[in-house]
Amino acid sequence: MKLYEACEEVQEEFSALLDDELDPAEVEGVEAHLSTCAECLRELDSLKKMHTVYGALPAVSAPAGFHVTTEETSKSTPISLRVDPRHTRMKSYKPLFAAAAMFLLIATMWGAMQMASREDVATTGTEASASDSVFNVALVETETSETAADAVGTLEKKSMSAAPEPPVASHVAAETTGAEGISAKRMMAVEEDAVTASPSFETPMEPERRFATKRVDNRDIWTQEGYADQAVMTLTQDSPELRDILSGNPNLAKIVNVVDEVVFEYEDRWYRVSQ
Amino acid sequence: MDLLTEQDTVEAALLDSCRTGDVAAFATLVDTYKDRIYNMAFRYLGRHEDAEDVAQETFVRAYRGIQDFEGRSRVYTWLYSIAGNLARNHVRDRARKGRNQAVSLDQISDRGAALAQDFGAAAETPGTLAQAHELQDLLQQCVEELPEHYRLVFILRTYEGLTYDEIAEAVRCPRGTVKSRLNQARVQLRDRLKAMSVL
Repeated sequence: MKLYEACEEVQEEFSALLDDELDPAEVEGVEAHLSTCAECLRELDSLKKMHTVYGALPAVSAPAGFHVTTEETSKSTPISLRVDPRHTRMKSYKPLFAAAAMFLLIATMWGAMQMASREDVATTGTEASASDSVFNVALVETETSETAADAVGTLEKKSMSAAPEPPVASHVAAETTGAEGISAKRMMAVEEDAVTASPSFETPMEPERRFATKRVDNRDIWTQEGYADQAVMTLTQDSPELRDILSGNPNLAKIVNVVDEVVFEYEDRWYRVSQ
Repeated sequence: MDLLTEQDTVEAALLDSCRTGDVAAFATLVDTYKDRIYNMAFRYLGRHEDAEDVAQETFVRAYRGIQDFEGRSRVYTWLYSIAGNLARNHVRDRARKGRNQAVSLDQISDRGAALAQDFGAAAETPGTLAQAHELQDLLQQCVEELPEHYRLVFILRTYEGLTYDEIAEAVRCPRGTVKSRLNQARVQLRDRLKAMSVL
């Protein structure tokens, strides 16, 4: 039997006693002390009560649509899209149209990017015009538009594989670079919070895998942190200010037409457009 | 073959398949542990959207790092380890941005008396008592106010049912430290609930 000299010493064992993590000699010693110490008995009783209350709390389960997305897993499981119900709603009655529009948009943008890239090479020294205006766009499909979302994901992958040099992040929801002089402002996944317990888990990724996982990260950034602390000005569809912005940014206009609600950054200000 | 060995064998086979890039095997891994990881993250962070983020990121990182996981620990302690670090970073990130929603116990202490009444009425059936929604919130807030190193071991033991050795593996500290932290966590929680007249 282990001998305990002070109450404090015994009380340090109470938690392990409740968890059945003491060895028999320790249990015997604690019980011997408790048989002669009313104060420690009360102490143990109150801890036991607290332990019972917490132990009765129900477990929570992952939501029904919980999925983990990587390039590989997305081949056989649905693409997992983060939904920010506050700011992002795809028109639920037009999921297929939306998928088609997204495809057109991606194709247009990709083509435009290629063209812009070639023009940049041809017209050296003109890059200043491309950075005159900057916008970021945040949009996410809803649960009801998984078909559209999957289609987008698939199409993106196709465009990636077709591209001679895949862009690091060409997801439309993450950033866009158009031919109309819009330079994308990149919001990459910030890895400042490195997982200290598993540094070796970070392995070099092939481009496709990086793209796929980064897309998820980007969505986190966009939906939760990209503009959460920003003052966001709400514009109506018919506001002159929006028309002015869209007239110079047709790609953004296409997004606005497709999605119920869009949040974007334009010239260092954040705007929200609702249908 | 006893049950534990059989479980180990199944788990090892699953991990081997995951390492070869078997997507279905990884999906099985996710399916097996998603609820546990989600529950842990929720108990740590107190918000479902944050729990989902952390749980998803946990599996993304596990997927990336599965080649380097040597299998010397159980896969779930490894996952808890990743999730615990992500949850902790999430809290720090929220704190940096001033968006932590943890309510000071001073602010909620006035609820203690009412809850204490409930507690008195149901003192003999704490299981029933814990079903009370408001009390659940209060208990959760108390956990969220625990220091980080106490919080994780408390959650892993109380909600996830890990043994001290498993917690030591997940938190990467000696078993004695787990024992001591857990005791401190419970004493703090007990004292806080007492201060609010809940216990």
